[in-house]
Amino acid sequence: MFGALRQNAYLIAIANDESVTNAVLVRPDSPILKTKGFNPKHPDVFGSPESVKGKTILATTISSGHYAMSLWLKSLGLTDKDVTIKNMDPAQCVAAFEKGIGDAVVLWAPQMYNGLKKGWKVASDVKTAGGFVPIVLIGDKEYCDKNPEEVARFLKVYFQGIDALRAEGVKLAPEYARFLKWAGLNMTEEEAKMDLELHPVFTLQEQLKMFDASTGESQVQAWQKDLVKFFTELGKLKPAEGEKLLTGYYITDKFLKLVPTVK
Amino acid sequence: MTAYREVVVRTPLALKILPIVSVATFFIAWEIVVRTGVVPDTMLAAPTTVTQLLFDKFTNVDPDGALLHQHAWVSIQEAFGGYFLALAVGLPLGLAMGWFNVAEGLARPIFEIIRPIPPVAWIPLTIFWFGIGLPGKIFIIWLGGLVPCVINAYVGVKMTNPTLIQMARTYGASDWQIFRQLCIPSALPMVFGALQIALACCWTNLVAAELLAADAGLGFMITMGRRLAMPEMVVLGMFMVGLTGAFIGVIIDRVEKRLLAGIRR
Repeated sequence: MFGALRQNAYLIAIANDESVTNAVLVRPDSPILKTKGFNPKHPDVFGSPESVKGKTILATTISSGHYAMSLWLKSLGLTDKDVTIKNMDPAQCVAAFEKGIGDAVVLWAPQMYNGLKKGWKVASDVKTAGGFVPIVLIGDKEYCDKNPEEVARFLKVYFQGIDALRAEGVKLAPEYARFLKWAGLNMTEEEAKMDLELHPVFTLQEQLKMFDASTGESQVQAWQKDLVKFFTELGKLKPAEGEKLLTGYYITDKFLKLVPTVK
Repeated sequence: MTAYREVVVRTPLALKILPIVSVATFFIAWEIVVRTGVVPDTMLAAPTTVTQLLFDKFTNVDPDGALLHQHAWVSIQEAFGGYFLALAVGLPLGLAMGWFNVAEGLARPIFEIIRPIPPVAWIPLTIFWFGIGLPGKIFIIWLGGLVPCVINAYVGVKMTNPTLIQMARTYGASDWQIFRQLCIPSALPMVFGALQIALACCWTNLVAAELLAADAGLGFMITMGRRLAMPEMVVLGMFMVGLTGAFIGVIIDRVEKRLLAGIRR
């Protein structure tokens, strides 16, 4: 979204679904865990207005984690203004929460796994609070328009990986752990397996359906709209910028449609 | 008739306007480079865009959550807290290390280990020791300002004229008397140099310190500019850090000239 606005980028595909790995965590003895399903629409969300209002939450603002937190608060009839937010990077959030600072902490993978290992409980994530937050692939508009087939070839190779992930699933955990280690992130095979399970991916056909706007607003446009409204309400986007993004001008499936035609 | 005539040195007009021309040329070139697309405006904001945001931030808390003067005030509190603490600890420590062998023997090894560690590396430990409030930020900034205070004070004492020291000993002065009445005044020019350098170091560490649970401050504003992909906010934050630091530096310079008037360097 910011890429589209500031860098003149297209949103060309979905990488994976991050909805379950952006979560609000609390300590196991937190009073927030005493209430579950306060909002009947979100039966798996913990907390109530009384147990959450006025609490201190450690979070990285202007992030998918912030979105997870705001969805959780919205589910309980609250807003960001009803809590105290301490803005920190995820690693600092873990350190501070472990020290006893804050009543809840907002994390995403892999720091979220650190939190779970420490015994912290998920009060809510994007999925249980009724949202959807994907990682997306973006492309420079000028380059993409000049080189549509190159973009399609890139996506073709990308979907080969997606197809392998869907076919092999958690059997790829050892390879995945090895890749992450090469990239500088140490994960055990168990954690790698969990990471694969918690990050659904979507095939080309599935994504073509998600991007299909022939009968009205596409699914991807709807997801992006929620995010645009979220950031506009926070004041992080000017109203004019929000209006522009709500048209969905930057979301395109033209490169996805080219994938079957390129070698 | 006077014994001498005072000579008035007039600066040529060209030299007077040269700095103005230089600054104006810099800003005009910057504006042209961005407006013509030589550097994309997504990577560098034009001066006019930054100026627009500057005026907007006087009255608009969005998108970073505070007004410009609120950011500046928060940063000044944090920076001055760390700065004065650095002076209070670093200068006496450096002076003592420069004269007393025991002080040097005790403090120097630890100082030499701590000195190369960048203040930002202390953030995880700072959270454990001080939490995420103002004390933690002051600690990060203090670490940045401590090093130049110790080094300059130490060198200032070491540079005391040895002839004067010998003369003082000849007249029966004790170590403490020599330190207090000879070494410290002698080290003052270096100490005031430390004031300027430490200030620069403290301001530099402002951005690092405000990574730690900040919701206001000039460093926080720079971080928000990065997260929101708004280079104009990043540049404005940098400009305000530079401007505020320069203003305080001028004040320190004036104080130094007053206090050190008459001391030959």
